[in-house]
Amino acid sequence: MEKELKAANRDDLHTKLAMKFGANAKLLFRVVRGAIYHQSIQDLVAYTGLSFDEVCQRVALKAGDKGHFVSEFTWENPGTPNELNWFYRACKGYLYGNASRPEWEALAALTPDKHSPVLDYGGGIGQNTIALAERGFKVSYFDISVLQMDFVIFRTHSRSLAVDVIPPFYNRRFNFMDCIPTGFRAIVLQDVLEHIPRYPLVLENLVAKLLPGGVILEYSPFNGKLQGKKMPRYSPVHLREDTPLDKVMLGLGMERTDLGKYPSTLWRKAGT
Amino acid sequence: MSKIVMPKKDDLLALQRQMSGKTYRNVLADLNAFTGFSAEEICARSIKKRTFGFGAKGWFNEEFAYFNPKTPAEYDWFYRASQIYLFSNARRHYWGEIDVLQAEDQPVLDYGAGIGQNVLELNYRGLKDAWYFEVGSIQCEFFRFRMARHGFEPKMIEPYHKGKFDTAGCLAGAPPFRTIIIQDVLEHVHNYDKILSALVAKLLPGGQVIEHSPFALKDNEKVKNEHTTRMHLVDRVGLQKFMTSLGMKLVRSQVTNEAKKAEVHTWKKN
Repeated sequence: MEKELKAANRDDLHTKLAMKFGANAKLLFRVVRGAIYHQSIQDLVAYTGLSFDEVCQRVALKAGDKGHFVSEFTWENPGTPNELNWFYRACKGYLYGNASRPEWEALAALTPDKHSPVLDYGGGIGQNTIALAERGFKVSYFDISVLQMDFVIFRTHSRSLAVDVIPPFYNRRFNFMDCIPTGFRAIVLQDVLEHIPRYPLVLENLVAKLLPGGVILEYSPFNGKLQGKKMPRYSPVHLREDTPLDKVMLGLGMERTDLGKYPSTLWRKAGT
Repeated sequence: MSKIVMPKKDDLLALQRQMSGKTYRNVLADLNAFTGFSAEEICARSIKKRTFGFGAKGWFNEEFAYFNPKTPAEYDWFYRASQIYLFSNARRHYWGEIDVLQAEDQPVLDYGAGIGQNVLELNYRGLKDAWYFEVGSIQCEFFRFRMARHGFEPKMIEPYHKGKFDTAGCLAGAPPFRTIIIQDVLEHVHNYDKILSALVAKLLPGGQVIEHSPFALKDNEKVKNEHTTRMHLVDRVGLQKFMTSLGMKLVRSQVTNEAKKAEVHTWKKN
């Protein structure tokens, strides 16, 4: 199956996939081919002990499918901030849901520097962390998800990449703000803030951890936000932007640069 | 809380007292620090199934039913990723069987050690050459966190061999052991013969295995009204015969649950 998907232009492939995976075949074809390309499926096979087909089935799940992170969210139904944190810490579905995403194109806006590190905050399965580390960046990774953090340790070890993984503890207690050290030249925030209640507090904390002149590369699809000419987006796992992000960033003294090419924003801290 | 059923106040207080006690090594405070949950929220997740009925919300049977593993690899993955075991295992203090262990019984390996109650207790008793192995990632993370909180060095075996998840092969890089504890583990594992072979190979001559494996009963062995769960497998290998074939001698056997035909065994390596 792996070889067939790698050579995936044959007309009969959809039929074969449909026989094997049923209604999800088309989606599976699209996402799995990409995930094979950037190795996340092969890594998941090695990490989980599941077969290639079993991993592909999980990667190809849709939001309504059992086991998808959105369904897991509905099943868990977190009702308090603690429960929401715990959902993200213990969620299984994100391990697969994030596998179909390649590294973020907007990383091209960052330039390598071996001395001052880049922080991948809410780094998921580490696609950006690995891409940056392989390009010579000094990288720190942070995510509250136990499984994803464990998977990133596995992935970076197997590639012999020196990545600083930051556990979400401070003074031996769960704390996803004070655990972050200072001195970053750049912080990557891809699809993170829209999951955090009272996100301005987290942003304030992160900006304080940036070096003068440092940047935050950010994309935050809050619920209700217009995406170009499309309809306002909605996801059950995303929050609404109660306080406008631009206002928060400008209030923290950050200067905005739109990266027209990518759906993202680069914010620069004053100073050099 | 929308999902978890809160226990009655008296039950909650009793449970809080229990989990804050010395025999539990204050697991409640450790879980509070690890998860950020309040004592009440933790107790609600840890409460015994019989309080709310089999398959109660938040209990691991429900998690098992939701993820519905079918293949051996999916079973392993369920245990690897389970979050409910973190709380349900916190209801258990260390295993009384470890009371017999002395300094000369080290190094000790607790295989399938859950949240690490046995290893932590051994450390408190001065048996610091105690090793931990568990597939549950969240439980592993909690153990690492907890040992640091209690001021002990965690000795852990990672579940990988040659860059792949392998619960038997990973033992190849481990040191030899004088004692191996296998408490309520083998009944969850499809290929336990492979794991037992690897474990016995790691046992020093004269070393011991202390084991309790309440396998599910075959249909014709079941006692009326005795519930079983898909989480426990039927012993298709034949544990006693297999251990004997590995050169292990049964030196002690004690019934723990007559209806389920469960026994604790001590095996010695020739």
